[in-house]
Amino acid sequence: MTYNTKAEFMAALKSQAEKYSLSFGEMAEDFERHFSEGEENGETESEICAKLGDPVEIVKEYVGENSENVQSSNSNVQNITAGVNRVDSNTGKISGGMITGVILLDLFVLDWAVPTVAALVITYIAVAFAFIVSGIAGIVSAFMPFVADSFTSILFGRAFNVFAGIAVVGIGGIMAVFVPNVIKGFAGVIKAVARLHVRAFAGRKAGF
Amino acid sequence: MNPQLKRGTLELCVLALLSDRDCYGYELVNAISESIHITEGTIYPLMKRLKDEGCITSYLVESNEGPSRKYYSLTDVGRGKLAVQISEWSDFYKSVNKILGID
Repeated sequence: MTYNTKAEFMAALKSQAEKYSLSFGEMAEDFERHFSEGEENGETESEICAKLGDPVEIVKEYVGENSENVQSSNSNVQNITAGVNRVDSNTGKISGGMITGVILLDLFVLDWAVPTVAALVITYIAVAFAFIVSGIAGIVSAFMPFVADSFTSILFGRAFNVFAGIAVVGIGGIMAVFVPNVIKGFAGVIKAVARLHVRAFAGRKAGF
Repeated sequence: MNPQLKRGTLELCVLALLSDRDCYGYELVNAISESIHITEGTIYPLMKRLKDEGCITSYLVESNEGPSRKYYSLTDVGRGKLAVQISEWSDFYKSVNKILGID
């Protein structure tokens, strides 16, 4: 609404400013000046009030720009937080945060875990193979007279190399038995990571 | 006139008037309301925002009668903003006229 006197206008402006906790000092000075400049120009208080407009609308302009700023910074915050959302507890849908998580997991899995585990698997197979081969070599060497006596055969006799060779082949054999399990386990981990990707990027329900 | 459109152009008009010479609030309001109908009270929130953005500064000049006058002066930031807004306005105006079929 509009007012007829400066006092009414200023009182309404003040109460609106207080409503939004705005400081009234500078605002009051600006409008006081405006009234006196208008009067110098031959306008009446009523005319000036009518042209100034509704104090409610004026205060909204003071607040309006501020609240727009607050809104835009809020939406920035929302954009950022959207990236770290967890799986929605109501729908079970995987959000953008899930994808972020999978990408971070990839950095770990592809850069470190897969090469490391692959190296361990290869080492395991190589060690099993080495045990069997060296064990057999030990046994065979015991029956070959032209082979120079080894340190152990001098100390414990040639029979020791045979028994030691059998033991070493046995250890290698036990390790070899578990090679398929080790490879299966490794493949299982790779498959699980792949499934996680399919789920995350297809936006299906979280399955874990 | 559309209030959103008016709000944007009011800022442009204020910056343009101040690029010519320093003005006090009542002077600005009168200069603009000669051509465009505005809710005059909204000029002060606009001036505060422009000041907060560093586009304008203000200084007081003693007056023989009544309170001192508050003059607003355009800063370099304000001049930069004016240049951008003039170019935006000109593009906008041409685009709308093109759609309306006005040459």
